[in-house]
Amino acid sequence: MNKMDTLLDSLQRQQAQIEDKEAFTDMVMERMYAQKQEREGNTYPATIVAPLSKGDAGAANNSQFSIFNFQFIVRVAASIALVVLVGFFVTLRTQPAVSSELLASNLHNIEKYRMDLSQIPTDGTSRDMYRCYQEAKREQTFYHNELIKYSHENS
Amino acid sequence: MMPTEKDIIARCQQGDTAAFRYVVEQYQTMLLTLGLKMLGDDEEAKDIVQDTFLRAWEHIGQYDSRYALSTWLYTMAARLCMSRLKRMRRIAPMPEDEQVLRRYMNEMDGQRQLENSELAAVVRVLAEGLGAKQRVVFTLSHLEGLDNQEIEERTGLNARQVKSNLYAARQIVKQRLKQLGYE
Repeated sequence: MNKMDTLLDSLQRQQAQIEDKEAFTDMVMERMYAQKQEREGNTYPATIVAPLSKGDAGAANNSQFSIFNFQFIVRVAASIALVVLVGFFVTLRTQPAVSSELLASNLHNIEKYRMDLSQIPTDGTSRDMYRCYQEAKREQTFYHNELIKYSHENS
Repeated sequence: MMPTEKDIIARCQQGDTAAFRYVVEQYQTMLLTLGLKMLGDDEEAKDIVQDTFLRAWEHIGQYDSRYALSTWLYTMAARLCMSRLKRMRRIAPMPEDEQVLRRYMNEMDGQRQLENSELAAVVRVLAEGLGAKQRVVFTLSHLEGLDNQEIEERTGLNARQVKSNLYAARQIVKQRLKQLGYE
């Protein structure tokens, strides 16, 4: 074995010395926490994770960029949902209820047609009279249904 | 009962920092040794170790359990070193570095354990004149004892690149030692 091989062989057995392993570990962990905190506490624009080199990407088997921070997206989505929800309730509260005048008017119409219908002969002898009767009946039904609909919607 | 490596990784994947601390304690020496031998600089080597662990923590979710954790970390560190070497200007050894090498060569029979600064100095002398790839393959082969297949896996270089860079690196180092008086 020549001197070069002896030297290389000897160097191969050399190990690095870490004087204070605990302190070194603390340093790594501190950087890790800091990075984690920075990522979690950041605001727009989102942190861009430092790109790995071509080689590192293979080693770590992951995508190179994380354009938007996940937490950031979740916060934005939650804010939008909250705004929509508040808007919905505000709209609901400010929407005018069916006015008592409209209701009274409908009731009045129903009563009117009920009275009218009582005066129409229904023996079928007159076709004109019968048609009148049918129309009045349809209108009465219409108003009646409308009233029910309003009541349901605003109950 | 001692937790297995699988247990430790599973805990890390769930965000358990205590488990990750154990990983750091376990593998920091291995990675620092690699960094020192690759870069010939104590501070740069420590930076590489930290970067490796930070990336490991970030990407632990994608860790492929078919490989040993040490292999995964080692590969990441080797590639980070390679990136760093490409960016670094070639570092010329300091005058005292040669003295460290001479002293070590004279004491080699005693197998003295070198301090980090001494190991870095010897590496700087040997690696002078080597390109980034030559330096990487030379370090992994001769200073870390990996075979060519392992070097391919760790660096992402193909077989031809490993072989040619290794040959060229060896010739340069041989020439360098010859200049220093070691045949």
